[in-house]
Amino acid sequence: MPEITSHRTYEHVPYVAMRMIPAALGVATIPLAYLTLRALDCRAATALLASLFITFENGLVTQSRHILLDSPLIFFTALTVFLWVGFCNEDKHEPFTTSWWSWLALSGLSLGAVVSCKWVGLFTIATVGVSTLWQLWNLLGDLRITPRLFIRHFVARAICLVVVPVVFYMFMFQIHFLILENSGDGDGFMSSEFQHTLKGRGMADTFADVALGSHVTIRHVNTQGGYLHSHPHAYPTGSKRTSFSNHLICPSTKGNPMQNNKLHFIPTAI
Amino acid sequence: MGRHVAASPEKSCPRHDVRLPRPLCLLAKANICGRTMRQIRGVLQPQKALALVGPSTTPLEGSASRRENASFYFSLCCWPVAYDCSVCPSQTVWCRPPRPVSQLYIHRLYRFDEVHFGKFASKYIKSQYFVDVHPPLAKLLITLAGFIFGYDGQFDFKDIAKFVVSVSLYQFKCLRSPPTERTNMYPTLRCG
Repeated sequence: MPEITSHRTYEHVPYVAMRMIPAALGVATIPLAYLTLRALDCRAATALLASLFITFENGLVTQSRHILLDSPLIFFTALTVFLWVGFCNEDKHEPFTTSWWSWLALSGLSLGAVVSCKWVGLFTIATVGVSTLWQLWNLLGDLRITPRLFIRHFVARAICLVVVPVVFYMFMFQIHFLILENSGDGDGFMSSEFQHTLKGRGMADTFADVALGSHVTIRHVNTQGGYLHSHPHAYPTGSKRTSFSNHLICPSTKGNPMQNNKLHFIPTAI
Repeated sequence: MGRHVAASPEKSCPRHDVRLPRPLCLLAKANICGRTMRQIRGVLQPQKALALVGPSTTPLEGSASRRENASFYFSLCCWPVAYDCSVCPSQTVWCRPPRPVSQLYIHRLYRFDEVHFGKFASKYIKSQYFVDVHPPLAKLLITLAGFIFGYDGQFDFKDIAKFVVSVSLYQFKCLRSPPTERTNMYPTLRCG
C-alpha cells in the first residue's frame, strides 16, 4: 500500500476534462464526415460507411483520447471542408444570397481556426485557395459574368477567405497575449521592449532617462548575470579611452556592485 | 499484483505482443497466440488490468514504459470490461461512468506529448509567458477545459508516464478489491 499523502501533490489536474476537448472534437468529426459526403451528393449508405470508417479508425481514436492539438486540427479541417463544400453548392445555385454569404464567412472563420491550431492548417488554406482559384477561373471564362460582377465575386472571396482568417488568427494571439501577462520561461525569446510589458521581471529601468552626473550600473537581465564592468586599462593603440574589458564578471559580485561597475555619466569637455 | 501481463509467460506469447488494433479485437473470433479473445479478456479483469496501470507513489522509474504498454494494451483489447471506479472528490460516488468517458480515465499516466501540451495549459493558467511553435487556439481550448474544472496550474507535466491522479485510499481499495467487496464499500467508505 503506497503512502496516500504523496498523491496530494498531483491533485486537481482535471486531466479527463482536458482530454474531453480533443475527444469531443474527435467525435464531432464523424458527423461532419457524413454531412460532407452528403453535401457532395453521395448516397446515405456511402456517407454512413465513410463516417463509420472515421469512427473506428485507430489512429484517430487514439489521438482524440489524449491532450493533443491534432484532434482540434482535424476537426477544424473537417469543418472547413464541410463549410466549403456547402459554399460551393450554394455558389452553383445562386450567389450573393444571405446563405451564400453565411457559408463563405463561416468557411473563412473555420479556416482561421484551422491555422490557429497548427500551421499545418496552411495546407487547408492552400486547398481552399486552389478551389477558389478554380472557381474564379471559371467565372472569368463565363461570358455571362460582367467584369463588375467578377470583381464582386473576387472581393467577396478575398474578404472572407483572407481577411477573416487573418483577423481570427490575430484575435487568438490577442487572447494569448492578454492571458500571458506575467513573465515566464519564454521571455528570452522576445525583445526587451516586449519583456518590458510583462509583469514580474525587473525590466522597469530599461527605458529610464539618465541625467548627467548619474552613477549607473548595467546588468544583463536574462542570464541574471554580472554587471557591465570596466578596468582602468587603455587600448595599446588608437584612442586612449578606457576600454570595457570584461563585460560579464564573476558571480561573486552579483548584487554587490563594486566601484568598477558604476558608470559615471559626465558631460564631455569639448 | 501490479505486473505487466506480458511478463508472465503463460499469459501471452513472447513472439506476438498481443497489442492488436481495436477493430481487430472487436472481431472477437480472432485467435491470438492460440487464445481466443474471450480468454484474453479473461486475463485482464478490471482489477488486474488496473493493477497494471496501478497506483504508485513515485514516478514509475524502470517499469514506466512497461506499465504504459500494459495500459495501452488494456485500452485496446479490453474495452468491454466496465471500468467503474471513478469517484468524485465530494464524497459522491459515480458508479460506472458512461463508457466513452471511462475511456478517458483509463490512461492514468501522461503519455507522449501530453506532457508538452499539458504544460502549456499550466502556463496559461499561471499566466506565465511562454513561446511555442503552435498557434494558441487548441491550447486555449484545452486550457479552458482545465480552467472550468478547477485546474490550478500547479502540476509540472514534467515526466512522461508520471502517475498524475491523486488516488485516495478509497479509490485505491476499489481498484484492489474484488468486485463484490467493492460494491459493499460504496456506502461505508469516504473518499477524499
